[in-house]
Amino acid sequence: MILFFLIFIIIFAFFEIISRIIYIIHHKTYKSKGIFLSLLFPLNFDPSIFFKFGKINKSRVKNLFRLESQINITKINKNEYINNFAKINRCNYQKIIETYSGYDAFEKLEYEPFIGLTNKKNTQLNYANINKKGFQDTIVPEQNNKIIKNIMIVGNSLAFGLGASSVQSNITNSLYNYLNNNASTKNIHWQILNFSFISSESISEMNQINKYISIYKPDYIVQIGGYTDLYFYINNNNLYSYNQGEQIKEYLYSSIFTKILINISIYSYFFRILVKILRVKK
Amino acid sequence: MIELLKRAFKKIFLIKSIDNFNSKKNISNLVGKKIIQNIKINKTITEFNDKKFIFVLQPTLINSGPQTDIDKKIFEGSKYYKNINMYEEFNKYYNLIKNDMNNINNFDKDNFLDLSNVFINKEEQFFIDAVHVGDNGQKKIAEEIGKKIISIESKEKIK
Repeated sequence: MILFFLIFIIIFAFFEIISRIIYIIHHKTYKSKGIFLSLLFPLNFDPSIFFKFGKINKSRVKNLFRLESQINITKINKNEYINNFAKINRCNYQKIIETYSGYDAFEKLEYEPFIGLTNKKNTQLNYANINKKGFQDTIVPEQNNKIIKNIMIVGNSLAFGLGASSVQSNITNSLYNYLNNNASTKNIHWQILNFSFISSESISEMNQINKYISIYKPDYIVQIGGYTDLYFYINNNNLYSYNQGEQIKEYLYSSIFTKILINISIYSYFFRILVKILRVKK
Repeated sequence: MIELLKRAFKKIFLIKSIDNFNSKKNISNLVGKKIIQNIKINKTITEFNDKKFIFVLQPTLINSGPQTDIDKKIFEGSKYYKNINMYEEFNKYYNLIKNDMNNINNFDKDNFLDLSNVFINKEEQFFIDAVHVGDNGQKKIAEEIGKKIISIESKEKIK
């Protein structure tokens, strides 16, 4: 029995190593991390941290830089990326690392039907605060008898504020400051309700507008977009769904067996390949 | 079985060149038409509720092209994605959106704010990667949106 178990472990280990080799060759991570480190951690940025409906495991993102995926896409050196980022935001390298690493740098998500994986309510990130209703706001109670006008923003990570060095310098607060300091509308108090979330596409934004316009009655609706629709179409080949829509559907409607496989595949690259084969078979 | 293995192989190694999918022969056109359709629905919903709608076409380095030395590096790294020339596709895609939005029969000038080239001819560094901008870029985008809203408000006052 023990021998059988040992043989099983050895065979599994063999396939796991082969799978990891395939991954590091395909993603070329061996170039930046070396063969040994890349065998241990085959991907620079592991998107599976968002798989469980955006529930983020603290230990998996400890010291992890949130923008590793962007660095992978741009293919520039990480130090150069962070130095440029620091220069733009007029701060030092360490400040960027602190703002965009660890649990408070990773957006927490929750599933909302027809919209996708959107902002989890009541979450504070280093560069954006999400209120108890699930969006960023600049709502203040009383404004000396001024007319109150609300602006609802929908959009992707750019509109969400990814790239800002603090909450105060993101798009939500920059727009709030610009409008409320403008002399030509001094009788108006502007409030911003920013529903943007990372990876949002136009289909989600349309459903957000349809859902929330009658609830919040904004005076203006500003949709900021363009990039994600094309980018995620190239990734997913799915025109009329939102990002990770297929994974969400799979998780909601798949059998327990598939769910177990998906969970194991977060840790095992051999199982990732199995899951991909199963997805193809469907 | 062989067909299944072939498809599995492609899926595993993420070999998704344009030729793999019929629909990817004209990505920009397909996605462009979809986003325009969604924006028009948003405009209709907003106006039906007596509110004002603005679509902001976001700036990207891929579309506008590099302005600084670091931009050039980011641009070169991001130019190809899954065997697709992103620069070409994005330009076709953005032009499709712009042509439609600038057509006065489809959109009022107040409904569209084109920020796709807002960082062109600037020596300052704005982009941290192909899409995201730092504090200065966030401020600039907010200001442009703010100006648009103020200009709509001024017109409303005259009415």
